[in-house]
Amino acid sequence: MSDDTRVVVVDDDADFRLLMRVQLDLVDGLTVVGVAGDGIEAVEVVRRERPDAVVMDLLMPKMNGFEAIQSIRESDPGIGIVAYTAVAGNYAREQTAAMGVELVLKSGDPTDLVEAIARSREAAT
Amino acid sequence: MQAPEDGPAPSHAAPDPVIDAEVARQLAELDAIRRRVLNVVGHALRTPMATLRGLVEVLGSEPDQPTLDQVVPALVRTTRRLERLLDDVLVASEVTTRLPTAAPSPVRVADVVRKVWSELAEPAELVVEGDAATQAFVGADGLRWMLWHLLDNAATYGQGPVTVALGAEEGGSVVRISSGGPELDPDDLARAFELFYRGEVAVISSASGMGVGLPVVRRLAEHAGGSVCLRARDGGGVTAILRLPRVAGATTGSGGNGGAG
Repeated sequence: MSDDTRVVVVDDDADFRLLMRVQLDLVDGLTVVGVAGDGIEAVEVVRRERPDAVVMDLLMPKMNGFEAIQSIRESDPGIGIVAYTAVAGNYAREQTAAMGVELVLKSGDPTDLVEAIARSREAAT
Repeated sequence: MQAPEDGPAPSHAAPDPVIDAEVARQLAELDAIRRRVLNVVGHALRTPMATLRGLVEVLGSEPDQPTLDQVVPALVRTTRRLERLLDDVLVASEVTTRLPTAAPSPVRVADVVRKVWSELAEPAELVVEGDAATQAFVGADGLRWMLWHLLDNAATYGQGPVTVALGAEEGGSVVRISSGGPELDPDDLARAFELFYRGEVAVISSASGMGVGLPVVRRLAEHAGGSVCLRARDGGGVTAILRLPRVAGATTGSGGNGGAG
């Protein structure tokens, strides 16, 4: 069985989701095991896949990332979570800090995200 | 030109603290609007820009064919989206230089609906009902643009299938685009056509998007001699009603006021 970090990617933008899946699958030690397009779907996919880490967009229709993070935290605090967002005002910074979730700004370069995924696993274990 | 040295002293009105306070208030308001607009536009551009950069870098890494088959269409969609975002901002801001230019002609609406639907990144189930032969007398580019926003909104924020009902009323063509969802606050419906309305809540709530789609549709509909409005559906969800001229020289009358109605 692989020792890869199993990651679920959540973003309401289908093409950005595709990009993250492709980019993260190219990183040694990471495997994307599921994707979701909103918070409701994220909670379902996480429950089904039991990943090691979740990359969570914050502003999404139906259920936003803040609510989804709370739900996942309550059901499985051992899962690492990284908030990945296009822009972060004071509210997003304060909320994620209060939840103990690292916030990373979206970029076409996944380096910062990959490092944050590793830290999120350490923080969650 | 030299100022006279001996002329009467220029008159300066005495400072009026009430006017000064009002000017200061208006400047602060304008500054808040400027920041809000930049924040919303910046947010809307950030994800497609990041997607574009990332996908180009994936292309440069010589991916396998299955990856290539996914990345290239995503690249095309993303560049189109960036173009559309720019045009949306211009048109919604009442800049006329990007208004559609295609000459009005009879266009079969159902064909455009299906074409636009096929271009969405994640189309749900589409049901087209009513008179499939319904035509509108409009520029094809403007109709595509309007339908893209209305269908994308329905697919993104609605639940279940999206229904497009076509027909003719009061001499015009009517396109009703409906999707299910939660009960909507009438105030939200009324404000949906306000430019950057979503911007106020997008920063802290579940709303993504820039908040220019419906203002753009309204402007394009009026440019085409038509109108657009929203109606809450019984049991939840919303219907967007687009009224368009059916024949040359016609307008659709007052059909909608651009608000919740």
